[in-house]
This record gives sequence, C-alpha cells and structure tokens, in this order.
Amino acid sequence: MAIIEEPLALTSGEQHAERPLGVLTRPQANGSWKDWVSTVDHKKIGIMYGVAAMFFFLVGGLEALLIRTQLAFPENGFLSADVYNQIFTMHGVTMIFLFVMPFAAAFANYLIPLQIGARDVAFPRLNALSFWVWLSGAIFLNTSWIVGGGGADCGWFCYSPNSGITFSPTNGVDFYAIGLLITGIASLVSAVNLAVTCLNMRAPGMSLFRMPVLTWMLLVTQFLLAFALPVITVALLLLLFDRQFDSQFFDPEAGADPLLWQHLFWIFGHPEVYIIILPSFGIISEVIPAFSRKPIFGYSFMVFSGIAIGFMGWGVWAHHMFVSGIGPISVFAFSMATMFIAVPTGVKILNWLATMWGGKLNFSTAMLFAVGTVTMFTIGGLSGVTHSLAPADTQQTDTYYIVAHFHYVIFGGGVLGLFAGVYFWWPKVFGHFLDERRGKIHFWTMLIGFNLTFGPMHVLGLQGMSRRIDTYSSGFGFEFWNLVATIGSYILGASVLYFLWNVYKSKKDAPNLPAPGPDPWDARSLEWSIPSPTPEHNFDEIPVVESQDDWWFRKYNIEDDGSVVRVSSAEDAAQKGDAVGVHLPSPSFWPLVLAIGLPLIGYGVIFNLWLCVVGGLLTGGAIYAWVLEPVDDPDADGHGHDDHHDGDDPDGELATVGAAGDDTEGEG
Amino acid sequence: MATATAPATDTHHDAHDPHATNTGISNNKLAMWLFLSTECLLFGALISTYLIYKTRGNGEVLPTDLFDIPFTSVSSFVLLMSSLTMVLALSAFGRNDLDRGKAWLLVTAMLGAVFMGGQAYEFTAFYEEGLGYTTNPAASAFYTLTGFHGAHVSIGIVMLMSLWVAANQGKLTGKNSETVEIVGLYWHFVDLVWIFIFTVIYLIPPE
Amino acid sequence: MSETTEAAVETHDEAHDDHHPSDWEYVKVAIILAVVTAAEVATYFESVFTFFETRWILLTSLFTMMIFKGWLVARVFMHLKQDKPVLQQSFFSGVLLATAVYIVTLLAFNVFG
Repeated sequence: MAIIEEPLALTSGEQHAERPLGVLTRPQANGSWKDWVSTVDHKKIGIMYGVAAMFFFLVGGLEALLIRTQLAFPENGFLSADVYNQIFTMHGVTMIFLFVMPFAAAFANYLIPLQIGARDVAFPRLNALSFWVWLSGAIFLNTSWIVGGGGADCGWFCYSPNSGITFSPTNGVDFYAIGLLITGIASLVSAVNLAVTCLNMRAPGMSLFRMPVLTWMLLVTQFLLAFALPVITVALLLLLFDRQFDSQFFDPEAGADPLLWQHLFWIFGHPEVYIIILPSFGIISEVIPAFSRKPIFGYSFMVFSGIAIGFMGWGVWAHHMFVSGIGPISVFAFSMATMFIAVPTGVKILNWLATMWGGKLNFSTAMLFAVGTVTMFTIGGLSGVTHSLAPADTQQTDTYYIVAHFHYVIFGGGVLGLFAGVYFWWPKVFGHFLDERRGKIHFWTMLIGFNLTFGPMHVLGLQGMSRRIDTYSSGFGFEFWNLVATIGSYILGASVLYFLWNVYKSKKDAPNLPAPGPDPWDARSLEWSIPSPTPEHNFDEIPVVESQDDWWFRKYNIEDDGSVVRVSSAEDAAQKGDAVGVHLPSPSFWPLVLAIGLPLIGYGVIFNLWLCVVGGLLTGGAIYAWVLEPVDDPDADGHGHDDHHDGDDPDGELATVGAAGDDTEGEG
Repeated sequence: MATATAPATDTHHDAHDPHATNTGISNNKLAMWLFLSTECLLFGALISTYLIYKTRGNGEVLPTDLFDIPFTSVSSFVLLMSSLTMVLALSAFGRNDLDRGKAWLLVTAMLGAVFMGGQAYEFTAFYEEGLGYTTNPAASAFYTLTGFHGAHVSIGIVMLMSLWVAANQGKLTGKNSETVEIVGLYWHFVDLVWIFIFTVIYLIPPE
Repeated sequence: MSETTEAAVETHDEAHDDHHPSDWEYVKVAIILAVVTAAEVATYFESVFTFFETRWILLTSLFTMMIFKGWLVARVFMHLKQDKPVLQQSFFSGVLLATAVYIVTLLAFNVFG
C-alpha cells in the first residue's frame, strides 16, 4: 500500500504570465492552485507567508481597533471584561506569532537563497512543510473563537495560575497552547533549514563575511529561533498537561511555583523580541545604503553587533519579572545585563546614521520607512533603557508606559522596517513597482497614526494607568489621551487599508508603466543581478563572488583617487534569466498532508482522543510517504521526473550547480 | 530528515557530494547536529523543572523515595550498550557489510526496546507505590522528563526499524550509509541525555 | 581514575585521527563507559559511600564521571573527533547555552541551597 505520489514535473525556463502577483493572480498554465499547494520553491513559499501574514495583520488590527474602541471612554460598555481579555490576548498572539514573525519569514525565505547565490534552500520540502504547518497552527488557533468557547483570555504571556482551569475554564487557553506548539514546530524546522542554507549553500567566493547584513541578521535570527522555541515548547506542554491531564506544574496549592512558567516563558520571550527586530534591522541595513548611495558604514560592526545582540539576549529575560518576587540579587543581575544590551543596538543606530551622513539621499518610500524605523526604534529603545533601571521599572511595569515601549520597538521598529522591505523588494518579487506617491501617503498616515496611538501611552503610563484592564474610571485624568490614542489607532488602521489599495492599484496600473528591470534601485546585493520578477531558477549561472557587494562592483569601479566610475549598466551586467534545463527540486503534496494531521491531533487532545489517532496516522503516514516518494535525483536511474532539456544543454553545464571545485573558503 | 533512499531534499548538486557544501559537511548531517543542539534546550527545561520540584511532595511520596538504583543501573547499561551496537552498525554499513549492519541495527532496536520495557516496569512499580502522574509536582516533573526521553527512544526505535526494513529492501548500502550515521547521531544523543538524567536525577541522593 | 583512563583513550585516539576507529576501538570505549557507570553507581552504596559523605565531593565526582562519559560518546561514537569543527561548534553552542541559562534559572529558585 505504498502511497507514492508522483511529483509534478516542473520545467524551468517556461514563460510565466507577464506580471504574476502570487496567489491573487488569475489562474495560469503554471499558476494553478495545485502549483501553490505543492510548491517547494522558496520564492512562492515566501510569497505565501507574506500574503497569509498580511491577512493576520488585518485580524490583529481589527482586534486592536476593538481594544481602542473600548478604551476610548471611561467605563465603556463596548466590550465586556471577559471579551476584552480575549481580544487583547488574541491581539498580542496574532500580531507576534501570526503577523510579524511570518512576515519576516517571508523575507527570509524569498531573499536568503538569492542573497547568497543559491537556487533554493537546503531542504525545499521541509520549507514547504514549515509554511503549511504554520498556517494550520494559525487557523487552529483562531478556531478557538468558534469551537473553543472563545479566544484565550490569559494575555499573550499567559501567566499562571490565571491560565489554569480554575480561572480560564473555556478551551481558549488550550487552543493557545496547542496552536503555538504547532506554529513553534514550523519555526524550528524553518530555523534549522535556513541556518543550514546560510552555512552550506553559499555561492563560490561568498564567504560568511561577504554575506549581506540582511542575511547575517536573518542567520542570527534562525539560531535564536532554534534555541528559544524548545523552551516555550516545554512551558506550553507543562501548561497543557496541567489543564488536560491534571499534572501539578503550576498549582500553588499543590506546592508548585507559578514563577516557573514566567521563567520558562521569558527565557523564550526575550530572545523572541530579538527574533522580531533583527530581520527589520537587516532590511534597513540594505535599504539605507541603497538610498544613500553609500555602502553600509561599519559592516563588521553591524555583523558583530547582531551576533552580540543574539548572545546577550539570553541573559536579560527576568527584566520582565522585576516585581514578581525574584529577589534583589536576581533583580540586580538582570538589571545590569539589560543596560548592557543597549550597547550593540546603539552601535547599529550610529552605523545607519553614519551610512546616511554624506550620502546622496533619496527619500523613496522604502527609505522613508527605513528612517522611520531608526527614529521610532530609538524612541522605543530609550524607554527600554528606562525600564532597565529596576527601581524605575517598579513604577513603570504593568502600566501603559510599557505598552508604549514595546509598540514603539515592535511596530515602530519591526513593522516599519518590514514595510521598508515591502517597498524595496516589491519590484523584484512581482515585476512592477508599488506606486511611490501612494506609498508616501501610506508612510505618513501610518507614522502619524502610530505616534498618535502610542505616544500618549507614555503619559498615561506615568500617570498611573494600568495595562491589561478592560476599562478605567473617570476622574483620573486618563480620558483625553485615551481618546487621542483611539483616534490615532483608526488613522493607523486607515493607513493599512490604504496600503492594500496601493497594492491593488499598482498591480492594475502596471501594464501601462515601464518595467523595473533587474536593478531599479542601483543596489548592491546579488538579488539585483537577475531579472524582475525573479526567474523560477533564480540564477542562470551561479555567480562567483569576488568581494562584498559583488554586484555593485560589476557596475562600478573605484578609481585610485576614490572616485566612483560606472563600468556597466545594470541591464548589461545582469543575468538574462533565460537559462533552460536547470534542475529544480520537485514539488510535493506531503508537506501539506502532514500539516493537516497536526491540528487534528490538537482537536483530539481537547475534545476526543480518537481524533489524535486519526491525526497521528495522517502525520505519520505523510512522513513515510514523503520519505518514500520518488526523488528528483537525476543520477538515480529512471526515478522521478526528468526536467532536463538535454538538447539545450548537452554538456549538462547548467544542471550542475556549484560544480566540483567550488569548495570555497569553508567557513570563511 | 534523511530519507531511506538517496537524500534528495537538497538541491541536487550536493545530494551526493558533501564537498559541494561550504562547510564540507552534508546538509543532512549539519541539520541533525543543529537539531540535536536545540534538543539540549528542551531537555534542559525538563530537567530544570524536575530539579526545582524534586522535593515538592505535597505530603505524598517522592520519586527519590522509590528509586531502585540497581534496576535502573541495568537499564542504563543496556542503553549505553545500544550506543555501541549502533556505531557497530554504522561501521558495518560503511564497509558495505550489509548483513552485519542489519543485524546490529536490529540489536540496537531491541536493546532500546529492553530499555523501554525497563521504564515501563519502573513506572508501574512507582505507580503502585503511590506515585502517580498527578500526585504532586515532583511526580509530574519526573514522569514528564523521563516520559519525553522515552518518547524520543521510541521514535528512535521506529527509525531504526525503518532503516532495517529499507536495508532489507536493498535501499541501504555502503554508498548511502550517511543515513545510518544520521539516525545514529540521534540515537547517541538520546543516550547522552540519559547519561545526564541517570546521574543527576537518580544518583544524586536527597540532602 | 578517570584521569588515567582519559589519557589512555587519548593515545588511542591519536592513532586514529584521520579515519574511523575500528570496531575494537568502539568496544574498548564501551567497556570504559561501562566501568565508569559502575563507579558512578558504586557511590550510591554503603560500602563506598563513606568516602563520598561530603556532598560536594560526591557531586564533583559524579559530575566529572558523567561529563567524561558524555564526552566519550560525543567524541568517539558520534565521530566529533574526526569531523569538521563546525559540528562541534554547532552542537556545543546549544549545550553551553542551555547550561548557562538553566543554571541561572536554578539559582533563581535556590535549588543550590
């Protein structure tokens, strides 16, 4: 009963329709839904991550608007306390796990192979698996609203004993735990995949210290993910076992310690915030040089500070617990460590500014977002430094001052950086520009809305307004700034809708506008040396890299007197994208099938253990089918499909990527 | 994850030639080592939970009251020896000695099964002495830690038997012995975790 | 005792630097592992325990033996000795991180008295 699925034969070099827009495009010869659900192409997977993440951005945004509507007026009855708890919990969970992280994953998936000169990631099917498992976990989590008795209501940090059955009797918290366990698997698999890709699949001459800063930041992020996720996995399992199987991990009456949850959660939780921000730091490290027409200032410092942030991020977690009774020695130690971690981040900010200094600045939309990232993150970082002083934090904690801080760093730093990336790489991914004029309107409304929403929260917090409360009494002086924040949030929401309008309109207008070509921004890294949109096979020939910013040096030369001379146009120097007979990994349906089994196991744990059996069989069966499905190995006789067009490539040159002898400087 | 046939999940140019990768290590092997590295964080959390809770009996019996060190020593020894047989299996496959390779794989799986049998017996005995999963924090922590380890062993046994089946079908030869090596790495790691658990959880007496 | 066996293993290792150890090498390592395990177990029993009555001596000895066993398994059975350093670096980064993070956690819970 071997379930052997014949993988779909895919040839490269086939003409795609003119300007594919991913999932939203009209069905084409090669763009049918089957193509998308069985794809193992890192670019398609990246696009799917982006589209799905954007959808959840809207979900989380709606939850945010509900929060702000409730808090617009004192003693508002728009949402009951119980519903409010669910909404603010799910807002946090959705925004972090279902928007920011997968949106960053979209960039990581799409760009890492391109920036290192590879044709795909190390494990293409596992890459597809990560996406489908993440999506199934995301959907599972949100079915909590329908079949779980409501969303989780414990806050995204879900502290014990509040998260136990006594105080959270619906299944919301179970959906939270299992949903995040599932998405955690996706991220862990992806982290190992992308780390191996960066370490093992770089083009000849691409030593580690010639990789773009974005790839470096993403590599550090993968290590953070890989090591942090197991910790929250344990925390979530212990919580789940307490709730479902009556174990005694967090019940104070049984002698357990609720602080155990807090430690395990924040040991994950702090590296998590660096997981959130490092991709954005990497993105703006590409955008700012391009629009300053200067290389990044202090490349080594940018790389090493990113690594330093990765390391130091492990030593500060209990700064989230300063008032939970951990004792003065712990408080002191973590306070010190937290102050130190501002240093490598400060290095980065100075380097971005130094990059811009003396450069020929072009404030394109992407550049505006990048500069916005630097400024907004600096504000958030400054409030963060005030938190690091434990005595000060004792007043700030659990107030809106903290809410202000983390929204400034996550939204102001993280999300604005991601939008910089959107506007920067859109032409590469889709073959047309996002309209610049509308982009700038998007930027300014978003910036204004954002600051109106979260700026006042600094004031509210210092005036004593608690966080995580469904309403506040009148007469404390909180009314005015809460109303301002609510108005700001609606402006912010409008800016997001306007962005989507820009997406739609830009696509519609694209046929009448000039194509961007391979390198519309005159940039520096390898993805700009190939056509836009990216050909399915990425590179006609794997480039041989001779220096950092190798692509830029194919266009320019630096003379002895320091002047920059153009040696080639981008169009001439770029690859044509017309290679045929390039061997690509075969698609597979098994990642999707495997992914469907996991939420079934989840439903089984909550409702009926027989479902676990069904889910387990599906998952286990898919694993075996995956292992046994015909490989796309041309050396194996008669196996699988053969998408070589031997007539076009008789010497098999194009099919052998990175041929023998390309063992580069090893670890560089 | 290594396949029973030629590893094909990487883009094909380095499917057979580990020297086509920048580090000189195949993608599969590097991935397994990175994965095992992450497992340290997983087991570390479970071990720490036990160490924090090991004296919290809530008036009931504690795991340390019930340990049968001679018995657990024997099952530890069994698991340790299974690491030996695992590497002997790998060695055999490396020499293209398929019969010996298959035999050692089977022995390794069986030793793993004996270890699991020992665990099952031990848990049953503890349960009968009043240490259930939900008895107290110490019990929950103990059973969760050793249960997770046992689950890892069980998955390892499944992988070993799958390798054995594949070898019988002629799919495992000296040329793709790296697949055996990668399963072996996982198996040795599971043994490593037990080396740690046995010493820290069982052999350190209560104060 | 662990020091002399450690030295014995080292000289054997030197002879097998570039290629895989022979089967007999593996068996020898397994015997060493078994002997060290027996020594660990012995600390638990009355006749031997008197030497280890001081808790810090007991803990240091047990940890040394445990780390020695783990190091042998990683180095010989898992071939870290013959493989490129990147594998050791990848693996030990996780081991060290876990050790550091969890020791701090255990300290926060006063597990070390």
